[in-house]
Amino acid sequence: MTDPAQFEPFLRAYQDMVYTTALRLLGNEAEAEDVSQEVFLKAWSHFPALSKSLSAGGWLKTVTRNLCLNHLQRHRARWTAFSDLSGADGDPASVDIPTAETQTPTVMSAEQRRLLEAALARLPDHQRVPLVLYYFEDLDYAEIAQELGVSLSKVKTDLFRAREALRKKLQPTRADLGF
Amino acid sequence: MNERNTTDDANEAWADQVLRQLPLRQAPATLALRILREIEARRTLPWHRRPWGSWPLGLRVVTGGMAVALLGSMAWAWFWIDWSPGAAPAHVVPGFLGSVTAVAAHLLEALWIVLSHLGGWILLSAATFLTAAWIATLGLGTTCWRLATGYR
Repeated sequence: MTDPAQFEPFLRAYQDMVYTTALRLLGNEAEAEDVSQEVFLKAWSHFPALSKSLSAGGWLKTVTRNLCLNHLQRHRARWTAFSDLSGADGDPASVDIPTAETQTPTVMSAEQRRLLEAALARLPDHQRVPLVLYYFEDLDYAEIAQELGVSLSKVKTDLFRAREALRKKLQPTRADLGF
Repeated sequence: MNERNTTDDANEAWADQVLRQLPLRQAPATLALRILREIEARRTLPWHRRPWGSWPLGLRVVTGGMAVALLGSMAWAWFWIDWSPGAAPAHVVPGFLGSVTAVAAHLLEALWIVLSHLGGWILLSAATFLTAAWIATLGLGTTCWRLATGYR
């Protein structure tokens, strides 16, 4: 059995990545901590092989993603049922179309990051999850559809609505903060 | 449709620019400590409370051998012993195992006689009742556990 002293540097090196992935997928800090713990306990039981592997980071990301999706499917209402309700996320015509002046500057301030993370966490599961898988996990539409067990067109619709909803949530602060 | 496409293109460009540059969040300082504490707790568990895969090698070999022997005996008994009512397995199988199989065969024979004298509806009702009771117990247990632990 692996000595915790050997495991600790590995844990500290990857904890931010695992926690961030879980937090963005789940949108809840306590649940993200629980899932992160589960991920690292799995990693600990596979540590002899994992410590020599060059793809340890990828392994951790995949396990985190799978555990988060299992968690969402098991403990919360599935997003499939809700995302099919048209108009539930607002009228697309009311969304403000950005101009060049309102585009985000290259470097984001800490306040911008905080607001964006908060807006992301407030999105409903069926919008946040595809968005996170697409932008942070670098999955394409087909891979997201496969992961979530939904159709390709549904992934596109959910992503479309998620981007709109995210912009809407940030709308009041965009002018001040440069979003 | 055109307006929707334009809106989505603009939103996509915006999301692409904004989301992809978000840095990693810092994990809470308590996370690593919590995980290390849990690992330490698991390390100090006695062997019989750990998963079979992490038992000492000798115990794994012995228990694995016992499991294989048990399954092998069951498979052997299933294929080679005549379980039908009236059969006398003690004549087929010698020694202690023969006595055991003889007892099992007689018990099965008794059960077969009882079941064959019961009506189909009685058996079906009994099976339905047992299934319903089992589901109710499971549901009640789950509810109590969730109430007690505050688990969602």
